[in-house]
Amino acid sequence: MDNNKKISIEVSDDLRDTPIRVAYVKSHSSIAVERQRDEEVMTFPHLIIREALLFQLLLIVMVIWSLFIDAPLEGIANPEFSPNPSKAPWYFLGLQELLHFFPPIVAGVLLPALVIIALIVIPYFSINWDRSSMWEGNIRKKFFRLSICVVLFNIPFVIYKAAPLYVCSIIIYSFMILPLVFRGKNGFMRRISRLGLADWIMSWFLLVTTVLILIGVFFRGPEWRWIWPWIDGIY
Amino acid sequence: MRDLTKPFGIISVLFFIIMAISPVKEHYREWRIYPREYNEYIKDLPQRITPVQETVKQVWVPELDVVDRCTTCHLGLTNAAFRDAPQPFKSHPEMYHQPERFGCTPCHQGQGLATNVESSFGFSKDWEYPMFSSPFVESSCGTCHNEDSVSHAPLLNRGKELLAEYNCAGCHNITGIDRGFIPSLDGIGNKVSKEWLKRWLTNPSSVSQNTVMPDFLLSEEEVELLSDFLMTFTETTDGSELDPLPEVLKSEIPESLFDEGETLFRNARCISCHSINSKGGTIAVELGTVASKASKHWIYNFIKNPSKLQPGITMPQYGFSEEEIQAVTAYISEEFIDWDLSEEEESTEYQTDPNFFEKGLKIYRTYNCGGCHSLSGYPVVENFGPDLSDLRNKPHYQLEFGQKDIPHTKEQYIIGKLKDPRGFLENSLMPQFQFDETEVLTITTALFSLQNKEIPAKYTVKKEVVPSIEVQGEFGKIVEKYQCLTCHVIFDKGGTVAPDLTKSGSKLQGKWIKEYFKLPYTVRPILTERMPNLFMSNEEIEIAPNFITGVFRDDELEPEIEFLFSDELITKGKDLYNNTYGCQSCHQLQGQGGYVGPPLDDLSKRLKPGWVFKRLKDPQKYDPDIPEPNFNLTDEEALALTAFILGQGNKNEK
Amino acid sequence: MKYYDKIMKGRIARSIFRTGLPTSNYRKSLVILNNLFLHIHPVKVKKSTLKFTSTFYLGALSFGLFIILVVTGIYLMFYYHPSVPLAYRDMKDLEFAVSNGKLLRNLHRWSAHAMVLIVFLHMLRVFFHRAFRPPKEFNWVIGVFLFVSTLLLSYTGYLLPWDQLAYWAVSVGTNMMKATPIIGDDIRFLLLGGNVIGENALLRFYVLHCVILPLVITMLIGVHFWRIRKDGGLSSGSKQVADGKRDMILGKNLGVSTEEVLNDRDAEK
Repeated sequence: MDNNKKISIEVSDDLRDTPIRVAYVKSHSSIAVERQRDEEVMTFPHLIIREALLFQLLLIVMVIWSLFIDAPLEGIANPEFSPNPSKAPWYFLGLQELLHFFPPIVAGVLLPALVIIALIVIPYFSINWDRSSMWEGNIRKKFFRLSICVVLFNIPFVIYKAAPLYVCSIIIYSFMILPLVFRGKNGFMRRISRLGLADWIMSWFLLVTTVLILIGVFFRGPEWRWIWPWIDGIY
Repeated sequence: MRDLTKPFGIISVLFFIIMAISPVKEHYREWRIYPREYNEYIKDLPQRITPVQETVKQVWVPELDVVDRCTTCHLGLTNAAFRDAPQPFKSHPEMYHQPERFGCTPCHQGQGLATNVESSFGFSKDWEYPMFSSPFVESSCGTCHNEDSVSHAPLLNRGKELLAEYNCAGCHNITGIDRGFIPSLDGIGNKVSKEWLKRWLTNPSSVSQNTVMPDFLLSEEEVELLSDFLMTFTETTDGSELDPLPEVLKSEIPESLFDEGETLFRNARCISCHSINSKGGTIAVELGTVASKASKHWIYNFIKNPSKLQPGITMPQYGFSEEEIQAVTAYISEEFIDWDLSEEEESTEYQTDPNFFEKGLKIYRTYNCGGCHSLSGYPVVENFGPDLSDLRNKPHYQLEFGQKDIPHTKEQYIIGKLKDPRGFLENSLMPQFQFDETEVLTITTALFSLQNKEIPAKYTVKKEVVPSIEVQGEFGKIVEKYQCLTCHVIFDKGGTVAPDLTKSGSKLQGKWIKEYFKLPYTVRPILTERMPNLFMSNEEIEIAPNFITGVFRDDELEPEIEFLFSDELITKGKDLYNNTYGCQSCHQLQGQGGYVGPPLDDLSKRLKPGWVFKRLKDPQKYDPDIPEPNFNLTDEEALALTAFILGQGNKNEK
Repeated sequence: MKYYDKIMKGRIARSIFRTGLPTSNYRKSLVILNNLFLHIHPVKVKKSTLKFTSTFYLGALSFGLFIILVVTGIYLMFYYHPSVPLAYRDMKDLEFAVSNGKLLRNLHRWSAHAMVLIVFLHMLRVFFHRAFRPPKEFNWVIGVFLFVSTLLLSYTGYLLPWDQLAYWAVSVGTNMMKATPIIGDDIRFLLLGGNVIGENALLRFYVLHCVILPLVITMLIGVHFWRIRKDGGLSSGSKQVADGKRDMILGKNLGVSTEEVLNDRDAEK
């Protein structure tokens, strides 16, 4: 490693756009961040009182919720009569919804395992997450690369007719390229344009999870058919 | 940093208030309020009643898996002082089982574990057995009492009868009820006309008002196809053709023959079983318009040998001679014609479908006609409707209410289904029955009693299964030919219309029986059903009484007492009859007395003294249902009464 | 106030609360240092991390819910039998006969659902604030395991009421498990103690739910908290990077402020 390289200072007119950094980053390593010591306050009482308050509020909310809404209870378990549909707990309904599109080995094993592995390796990616925002440098090249990646990524979803998945991809993709279309200087566009690829991937995951769970909870009826909750009720 | 001490103080107060809500609510739970109210209520009662504690009380019956907390609030359940108390303290009307041993829910259903009104009585997602509305409570009797007739449960008993009568087991699996009598369709092509069959299939009850056959709501095309299909069956069940119609019946029938037939029809007492224009017996079918239904040819053959044409039918084979048969046939086919029937049946041009047989068979199978009828070569399709053997426990979500606008309860579902079977789902095949309101209630009650749940043997009452003894030999042939078991019981088998014959050998005198077979008269004039004159041959009249007096005996009924009816004994008996026991209030003797029991005139030739003696001593022993009171007579008194009834009382003197 | 002082300065109170009234900063730090339950905290915390928007207190909420779940869970354990006919009846008893039973069951159930949600939101917050950057990589991994444990706890608890909902939700889940190649059936057998969901499955889920998983999650929570301390406290996210007075510096704290840099630049011009 060549340590004699000169430290250069990034300079720009707009301080907000390009904060001034003094950086020395070895390749293949992520940056370690250490902030200047902040202003500090005594834990007691400032933090402790907040924690106590928070816990009280939490308990108040939970108790009121529990006083008014009863936990569900159905008839005693009977292995001979399966309700139609049988639904998993809501947090697994995303998986159950995937099961509707993919073979069990994919939906029940592969995808959840991939998600957990992906989550675990996040901090070990040796890329600098925030080195650059999406649309900097060779925009045309980046756009083509991105589009090809998105298309390739979504091919399996289209093959298996997993509409929620590729629809979510389309939504996220359109938000990603939005700054290219509207090169506005307003706050929203600037904020979007500053998000990195990692943020977009996580947003996609979040959107897919939410959409699948909502579909599973509200829009699925007997035989896992599509229903409208305001017409057929919630199963 | 913001100082949060003040918000913390406020929130803390709020926090403690919120945390106190549930413990405070606890104090006002229903199971605490009702005991408090009870303790207030008993203060105003004249009797001294110990107050109760505010606790949950429960009846726990491990064998029945019952935990009932009903008595927590129903505190006056077994106390007569609470007869007029308001609910929930009111006492139970009449209790057939102690609640301490059985709990409440085995009869009433509802959620025994619950301690509030809503959950105990109502239907909820976690409790699918809401309390029965009052008529259906009787169904619970049937879960443990498997006898044919359960005392104090008239709705259940009637319902079970109706289930059998309407042959519900023809299509549904119903525990304890077997598939009933199956009118064979063999030979129907020779029996009825296609026009008649079409009218019948379109709506059976419009042809015969009291028929049990439901309306299958067939389309016109289905009716045509099915009639064409059925008309092809002309052979009897054993595969033979009908005997040819005698010449005399083919042309104009001579009046003398008709008159003879009329006399025979009357003498044979056909109306004991058959009704004519709704008058007469109810055991067999209405004959008022039978000639418009069945062909002369078929009637002739049927009277000749009923069970050849219709195996299993209860009609006796009368001992008519050939000429008598012709006469009766002549009378029936000339007399019982439906004059209302329009002469010119509009014979619209109907092109017979070339594949009518296959299509008809398909309809026959679709509607499970084989469930009730037999047709040789087309065996019974096994229970084709939903299994009803566990209806009581059928999960709620399996009930398809469809678009029907009724409360979504199981009770309403069954009632709705009985009234309008096809109203729930479009592709339902259940036919439309002609149930009236009461029948719907009774059938629903009976259906609710059906469950597969194991109940410990000590809690159940089993149906008595008696090994059936077939009557063999010559007498057995007579019993079969004249279908005695339609009305009489022999060895615990047979109908309940007429007396049990099993022990009649000890009761009746052989000579009397002989006379009776020659010309039966009515022992009990108030009954509709009378013993028909079966026109038995002399030979048979010899065999039957011998068999009866020889075999149908019970030594218990023949005490070894010498019956010597001295005048002294008779006088004493007369005194007992008229004064001590007042027998005349129910029985007729020499034209005086009540009508509840049979008349006692002329018994000396009919009854054996031993039987009379035993019968007087303990009437219920031999016939548990008889209303005759048991006076606990001494031997001496019984002997005197026997002497009076059989000796003096019948000598027609004042 | 006089009596309060007297009591708090008395021998008994001092034997319990060694520090006395936290009147001075020294005493205030002793409150934290001397208390077993509070000493996971540092004596002083960064002011920025106390701001609501920097953490939304999601971690604290998760832990709060965990405490509620432990307390209500222990209460429920007094009334619960993990056996087939009784488990369901115990639900009814909780509803109809046990004091506050219904509230505590509701609280347990809803808190469990809330915890799954809050833990997930906590994870998102940490991700979008990039609070997993070195040296906190492994604490993120522990966090992922905590999330998985939360899901498993919630899922194992789902079967315990032994109602139709529980039974069929768990069948759906365990049937998914079958799809795992080679070992799928074995895992399912191990979890259920048989090939069908029955009494054995209920017992295993009970032990997992009440013993094994709580122990695991408690240890992971301990490690999670410990590492937050060791890794330099909470990080409140990258938002401060842009608008803070001092910029973040890589490697060592060089103490260069943006103003200084800008001044230098201006001077160059």
